Amino acid sequence: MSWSVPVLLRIVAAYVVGPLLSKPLVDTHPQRTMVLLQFAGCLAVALPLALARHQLQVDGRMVAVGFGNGLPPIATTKPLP
Amino acid sequence: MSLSRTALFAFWDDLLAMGLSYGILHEGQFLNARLLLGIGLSVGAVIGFTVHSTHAPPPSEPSAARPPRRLYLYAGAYSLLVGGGVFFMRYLGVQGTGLGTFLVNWYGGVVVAALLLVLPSPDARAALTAFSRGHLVRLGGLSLVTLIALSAAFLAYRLAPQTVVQPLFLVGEMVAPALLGLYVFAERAAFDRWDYLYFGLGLAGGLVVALSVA
Repeated sequence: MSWSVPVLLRIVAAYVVGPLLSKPLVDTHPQRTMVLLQFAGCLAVALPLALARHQLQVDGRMVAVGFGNGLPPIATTKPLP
Repeated sequence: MSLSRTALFAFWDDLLAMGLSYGILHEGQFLNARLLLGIGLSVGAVIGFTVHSTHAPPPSEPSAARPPRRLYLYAGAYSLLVGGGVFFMRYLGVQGTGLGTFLVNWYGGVVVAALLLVLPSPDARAALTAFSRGHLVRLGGLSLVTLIALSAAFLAYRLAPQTVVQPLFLVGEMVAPALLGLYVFAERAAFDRWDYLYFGLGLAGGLVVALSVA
């Protein structure tokens, strides 16, 4: 697969579809709660995906970096795609 | 804060990630004259757009409603954490980490952080049950899009150097939300010629980067 495919997919998903979906939700509920539910939804989809691909391994480094990346969107209540 | 103005604070993490890849993963070897020109155009366009927009706030945001200084502190911490995370994604991609492993560990950490920050709030439980069916469906869609976006980024970092991929994300991050803010959410009456010039420069930079490694 060419690298341009995931690049285009990322740009469309994160910067076009993501804001279109998230903007109408702003100010409807507490932002922190919404971001928590958003990321919990991501984990709920990722878990069976990893199980199906036999890739369910815990790596403390990745969890730590994920933790660090979870702080800004929650602390600043900025929904991040 | 409007969507278009939020976008203006969101590029320092890209620069940090590129710098880390350049220094630690020795991705300077992939740099050539055209790539450097593309990166320069992209970064210059984002900085020019940021500076221009800061000097000309939209009419919908009077000076009294301008962001507080604390926001810049948040933006700095945000850039350090997210920029480090973006670099780590490239690092893991080079190491050959599986997509499933990455997603589960990443979102595991994110959800733990979110729980620690949200649950102490006394009204958190009530807020969790207050979502309408329609909002939950939209939130589910947003989760899926978020997951696809992160997966695509991880795959892109695995397939190409960060110095190639990041300028393209940077331009997308500048242009797409600002255009959405302008045309879909009507946050500003109109862009002036400088805005369009910076957009054009950014797109040209992204194109030069893409063509330099095609």
